[in-house]
Amino acid sequence: MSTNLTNRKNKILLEMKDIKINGFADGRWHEIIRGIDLKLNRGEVLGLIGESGAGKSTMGKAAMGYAQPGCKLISGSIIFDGIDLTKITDAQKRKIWLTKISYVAQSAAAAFNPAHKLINQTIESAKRAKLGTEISLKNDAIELYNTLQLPIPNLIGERYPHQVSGGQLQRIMTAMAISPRPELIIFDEPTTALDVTTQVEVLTAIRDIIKKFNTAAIYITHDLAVVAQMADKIKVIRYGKEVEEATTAKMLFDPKQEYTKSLWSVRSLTKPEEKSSNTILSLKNIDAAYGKSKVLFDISIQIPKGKTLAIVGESGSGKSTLAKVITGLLPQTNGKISYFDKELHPKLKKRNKEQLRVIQMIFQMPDTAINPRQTVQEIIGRPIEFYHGLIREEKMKRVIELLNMIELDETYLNRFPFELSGGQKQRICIARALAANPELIICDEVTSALDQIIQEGILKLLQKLQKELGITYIFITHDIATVRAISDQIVVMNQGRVIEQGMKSQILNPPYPEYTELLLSSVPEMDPKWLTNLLIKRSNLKDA
Amino acid sequence: MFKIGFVILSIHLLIAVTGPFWAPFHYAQMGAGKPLLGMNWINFFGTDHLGRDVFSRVVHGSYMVISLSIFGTMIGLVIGSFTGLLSAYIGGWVDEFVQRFNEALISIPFLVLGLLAILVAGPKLSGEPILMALAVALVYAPRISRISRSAALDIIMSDYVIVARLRGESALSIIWREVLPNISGTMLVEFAIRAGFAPILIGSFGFLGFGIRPPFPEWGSMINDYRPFIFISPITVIGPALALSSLVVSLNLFTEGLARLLGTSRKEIK
Amino acid sequence: MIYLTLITKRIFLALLTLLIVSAILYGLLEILPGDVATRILGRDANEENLAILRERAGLNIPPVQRYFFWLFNIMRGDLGYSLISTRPLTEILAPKIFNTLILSTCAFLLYLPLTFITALVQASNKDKKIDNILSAITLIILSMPDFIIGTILLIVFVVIFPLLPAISLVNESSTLGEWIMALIMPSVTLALVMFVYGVRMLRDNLIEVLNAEYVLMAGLKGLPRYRVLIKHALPNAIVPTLNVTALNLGFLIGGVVVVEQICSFPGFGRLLIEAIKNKDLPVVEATILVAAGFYISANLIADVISILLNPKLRKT
Repeated sequence: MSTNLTNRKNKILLEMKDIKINGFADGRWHEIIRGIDLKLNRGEVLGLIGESGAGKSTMGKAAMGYAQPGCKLISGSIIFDGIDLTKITDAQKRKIWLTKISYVAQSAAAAFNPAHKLINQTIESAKRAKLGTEISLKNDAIELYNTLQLPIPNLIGERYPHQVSGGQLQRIMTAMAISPRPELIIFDEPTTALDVTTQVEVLTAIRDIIKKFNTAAIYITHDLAVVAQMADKIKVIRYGKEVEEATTAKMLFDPKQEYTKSLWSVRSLTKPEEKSSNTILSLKNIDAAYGKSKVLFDISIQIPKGKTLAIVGESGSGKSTLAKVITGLLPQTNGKISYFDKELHPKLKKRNKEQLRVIQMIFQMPDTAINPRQTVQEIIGRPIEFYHGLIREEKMKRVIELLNMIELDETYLNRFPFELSGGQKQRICIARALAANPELIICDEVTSALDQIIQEGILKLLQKLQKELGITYIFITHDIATVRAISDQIVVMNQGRVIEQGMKSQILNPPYPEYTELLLSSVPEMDPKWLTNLLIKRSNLKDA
Repeated sequence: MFKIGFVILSIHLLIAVTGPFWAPFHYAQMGAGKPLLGMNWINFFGTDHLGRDVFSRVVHGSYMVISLSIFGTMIGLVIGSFTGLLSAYIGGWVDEFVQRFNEALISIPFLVLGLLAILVAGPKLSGEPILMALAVALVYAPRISRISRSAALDIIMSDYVIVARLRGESALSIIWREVLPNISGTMLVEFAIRAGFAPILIGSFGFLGFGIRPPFPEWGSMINDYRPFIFISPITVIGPALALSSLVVSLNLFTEGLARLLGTSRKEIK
Repeated sequence: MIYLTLITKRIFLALLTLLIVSAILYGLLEILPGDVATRILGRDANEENLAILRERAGLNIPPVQRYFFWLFNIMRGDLGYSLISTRPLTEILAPKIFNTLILSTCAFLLYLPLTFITALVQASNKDKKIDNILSAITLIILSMPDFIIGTILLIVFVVIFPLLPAISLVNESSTLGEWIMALIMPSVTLALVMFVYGVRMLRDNLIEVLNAEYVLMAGLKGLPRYRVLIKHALPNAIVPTLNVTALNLGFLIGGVVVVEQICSFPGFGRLLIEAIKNKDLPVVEATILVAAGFYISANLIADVISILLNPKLRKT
């Protein structure tokens, strides 16, 4: 590790010029990257932002000279530390990957070999490059685990991947990346799949490590607030081309392009809360279990008619299970569900058609929620026929009416799901739910799988429909920003229990119960100092 | 590659349908030439030990092999798909039992199972072509059932089936509307693969002496019958062997092409 | 220990399957299609013969009871008696099974390295020329029924190059040399048949293993290809290979029947055919049961090994 850092910081580490990459899918070649330049100095951190499909992951991999199966570099040069990566052999490239460039994948669980111990995998590259003896490398790894704030650092390496949690795995993968002390680490969406509270830990770990060893990094993500915590400069890409690049501070407070501005605006979508006069659905003392393991404990919630109740929680909180209980897919082991004072039978099979009609559900993944062999007309038409008995012309009229409601038109009638985008498919799911004329719609993470801008469109649509039709929503999500945007009331859940419930203003303002505090404070904000401040605050709390 | 298969297959089909009309001799007709003549201009595959023209026999046998293969596979497909589908949908003990039953049937080597069926059939059916088809169906049904079950399970777990259940749709409606259309692709490929192997199965039965009653020119039994004369006139064996192999090769190539077209991954479990 | 529960469960299921096989066998052969004795005798069925047969075969006892007697006897090791030769079945079966076992082992030893290496070559060079050529070759061999392959080998090695004997008759008195000569043809045929099916399945499985994300990751770490292959990919290829092999045993056992016929090898495949032709029911039942037993055991062993090798069950 060199000590004279300031001097070296001015030397250019990586220079990518006019990169063009094509990818092979569905039988033809598509353009993925259409000419992007990238420059990175030693010790500098670049945040690469874009929506899914923008090409950021491909670009990140290209930075190390790697084209994944199905991709080809058409033109451009990649000069790393003076060497053009496009002109060397595979073996030479591998040598560089061994000690100079590391890659941290999005899914740590898939990137580790399930059959080998973690510590062995951590030091594998360094060992291969003979950077030290096995003992010294192992000790170094334990040091790294310590810096990364992993529990029992001297023993955790002896475990196998399936024995540690997702957040821990991600940190161990970071240790693995840093072990050979590379010049550059490429982080490919490392926290995207993690809970927001775990994300804080991993972010801190990554930031500390690259600061400590003065490693250059490319941090790929779609979340600006996250990347703002550690990037020196940020580059936004869309459809394989660069939109804008600027230093972090400038990008946050003074973005130039419309597209960049629109990426931030979702978080400013908001709605004034409203109280309701009626309770449409009431859950009293609900317990539920999968086999012998109990997952819901004494849940009591009142859902306000015509308004939006958001159920917030992280993975494992039980919120999706609650949706299953309400619809009758998973009968509760205890407790009562009442629709307007009439009790609903716990089992789906025992409820009558009318009871089934008034409660509808929309799922997270529009791809799997629609039958790929049915046309839009059939998908929306079926509930119309099933519940209201309409056929032929009348049915068609209603289908078109619904299409208009979801802001699509007749040209979609005979299309199949594979011809539609994610956002369009989700709208079809909404139309399908509306076709029944329901009173209550359960939205189970309906925007979580969509890009930011599409999300905004769906949320706006849902709000419009509520205004026009007076539908009640139970909106299940893990994203606080969305909750702020659309809810009237909020229920916070953690590990199968209700932590608190009440009006939005009440929940989102202090004082908070401990978990709510943890949850809310873990949401990254558009301030480069956010993480630092958070850590200071939390350590103060710990000492106090 | 696939085109070659298609061409050869078409030739076979053509011969099967039209063959009996233009074949030079009838298959039981003796005296088409001196016994065990080699290849010559009159008898393309020579003559067998009874003086019958081998080529004509091959041509006559063609339509039987093909139609029995298709027919037998179809019966097996229908039985197998439905049992697999229903087993997957109903679940519980029924599913467990059907699975064990299928496994048991599959544990009996397929050839043996077919022979078993033939043995069991009794004197009336013995030697009848329909028995071949039934034996094929018996061998294929449990295997197809396994595949149809796992394909159906995948679909039953998906969200759109849950949507239909939440709606209150009846089981029949769900199976008809949601499940069937989505497994048809897989089952079609399955059918093609199995139909491609069926001629071998039928040929094996014939070879072992359990085929269609003589003097019907079934290719497998022909190969067996002519084996003793292989040193004298090898063409008598090579002729039907070539016919059988080329049929199966063409069917397999065709299936490969079909599978690639439909984009399904073939996991062939026999 | 979690291993114990999983393994016991598998053993139980295997036994259950075997039981069902026995029921199916018995049901098909003895219970279902009308009168057993008439079927056996066929044209010789007249009152007198029927009575004699019924007495000898114990067919006067109701079928369901007979089934349980039969099962019970099997568990004691008594497989019954042949109807034709009236010798105890264990005596008849044992040497045949032994012969077939030797044949199968030879075939297996030929098949294993051939299949594995070919599948590996294909998987590592997916969609390149060598992959396509090998796929084409296997497809063509696959399309030839085993009896044709056997016959072709016969023609080539006996007629054209007279190296091998046409008939593989051996018994206790044959020398080792004679054994080897007799075994070459049938085992090569068998190995070839298993090979073509095995290679196709294994190729797909190995492609999956090679494309596993952690294998790609190991490559991205800069490790050389052979190390990635040996340390990361191969250990995870063991289980699929085992599974494919276990499944292939179906072809082995089925193929044995045909191949022994062609080469006149005195194994239990030939025994079965003879028994079926002679309608010697007890022999048929016993041999099929043994065959099914082998298949089920092989799959059981493959499953148990996969359980033992599963890293997710490992604890430090």
